[in-house]
Amino acid sequence: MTDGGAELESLRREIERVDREILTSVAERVRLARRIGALKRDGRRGTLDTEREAAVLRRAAELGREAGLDPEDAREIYWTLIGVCRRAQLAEP
Amino acid sequence: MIIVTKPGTSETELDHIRERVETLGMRTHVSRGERRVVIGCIGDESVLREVSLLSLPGVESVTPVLKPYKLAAREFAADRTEVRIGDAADTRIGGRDLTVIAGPCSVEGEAMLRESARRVKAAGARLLRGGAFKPRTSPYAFRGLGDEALRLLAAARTETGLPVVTEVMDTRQVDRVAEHADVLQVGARNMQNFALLSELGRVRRPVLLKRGLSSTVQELLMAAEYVMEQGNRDVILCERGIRTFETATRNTLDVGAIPVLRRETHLPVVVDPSHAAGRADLVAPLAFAAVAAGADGLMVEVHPDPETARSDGDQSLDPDAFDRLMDGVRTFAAAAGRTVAAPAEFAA
Repeated sequence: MTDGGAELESLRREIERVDREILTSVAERVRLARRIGALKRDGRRGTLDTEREAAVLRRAAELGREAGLDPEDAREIYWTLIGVCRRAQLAEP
Repeated sequence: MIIVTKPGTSETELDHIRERVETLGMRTHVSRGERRVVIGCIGDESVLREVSLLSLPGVESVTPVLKPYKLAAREFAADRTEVRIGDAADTRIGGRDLTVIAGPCSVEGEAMLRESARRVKAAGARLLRGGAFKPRTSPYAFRGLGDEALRLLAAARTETGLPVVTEVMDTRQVDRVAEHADVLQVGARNMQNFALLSELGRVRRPVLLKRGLSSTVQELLMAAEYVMEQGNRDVILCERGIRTFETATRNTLDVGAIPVLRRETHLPVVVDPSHAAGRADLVAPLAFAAVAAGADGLMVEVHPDPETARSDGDQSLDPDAFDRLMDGVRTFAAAAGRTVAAPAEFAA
């Protein structure tokens, strides 16, 4: 294997490590969302909270921008993530 | 609903406007032009009546979109869309350059594909077309080499540097075709296959959407909306002739649809004169008419030996005829205020 090949392999392993961290964090976010869902049900409040979702999207764009990401990409990722968490809240008995 | 912001509006003001709209359960899309930023809002517009968006800092105007398509509507984008193709930063469809896509109707084998690719590139085509999966009116007609053709197309790209356009017929093929092709084509017969359109909305490859034989311009734009709604904004529209009572041509090229589309949408429009004509001798005049009417590109069938073609031989140009066509296209493009995109080695 050439030097370039070794570096590529090493970078791919780094990406795998980051992916594990991302998915662990996503799972943590889903668990927190479920707990919020339970509190909402106890308080007889609806699961859908567009005001809160809009604030989360805005924060994602701001944090993304600060981190050097395209804020539109950060919004897109969070739009998906919000959907995942919303479904998790709805699925909880 | 379209919100246009004042020049010099800050990112924080933009974020604030979007948050106000999203609080009402709508989604926002931002399009940044050279001089203005457009915020497109998708969702139930009636909720916006309650809010005075005009009072928000940075808002210049708020306009409802009264058309059924939103993301594809001209008003939704600050400028016309230029779709970037493949890895090469300089291959685009849309913008000032006119882009020509050429190649055989179907990939019949390695030698004919290599010869086609070499000749269309030399004549100035920027993308190579070639069918791997062919939807045919008769189940007994040649239906393409399938996966083998995908492999040959990828090899032709490596050899010539031309990005590849090929048709995807079925949701099950999307990943496989996306792996090998740079642009995924939806054929006229599949224009309203909404499952396929949604699936293509999830891949990150430009989609060339051909107008259905009996579809209106509005239906074409609604089909584009399906792809865009899933997140893929890189849609190229293709006029390829519609079915009329006329039998002298295979289909009737709807030249009028070109300026209508340019008025209605920011998406680029290419024209396929080969399928509209059905006969090789009509391809050049229809191509010139398309350029004169404002098309952003052409897609032309070229076969090294049309007489032996296994599909669409009657409408395929031989490479010499394609050379002549390209000379004419350059003349008409110049008259229309366009230049013909040429690969680096052909640039003046």
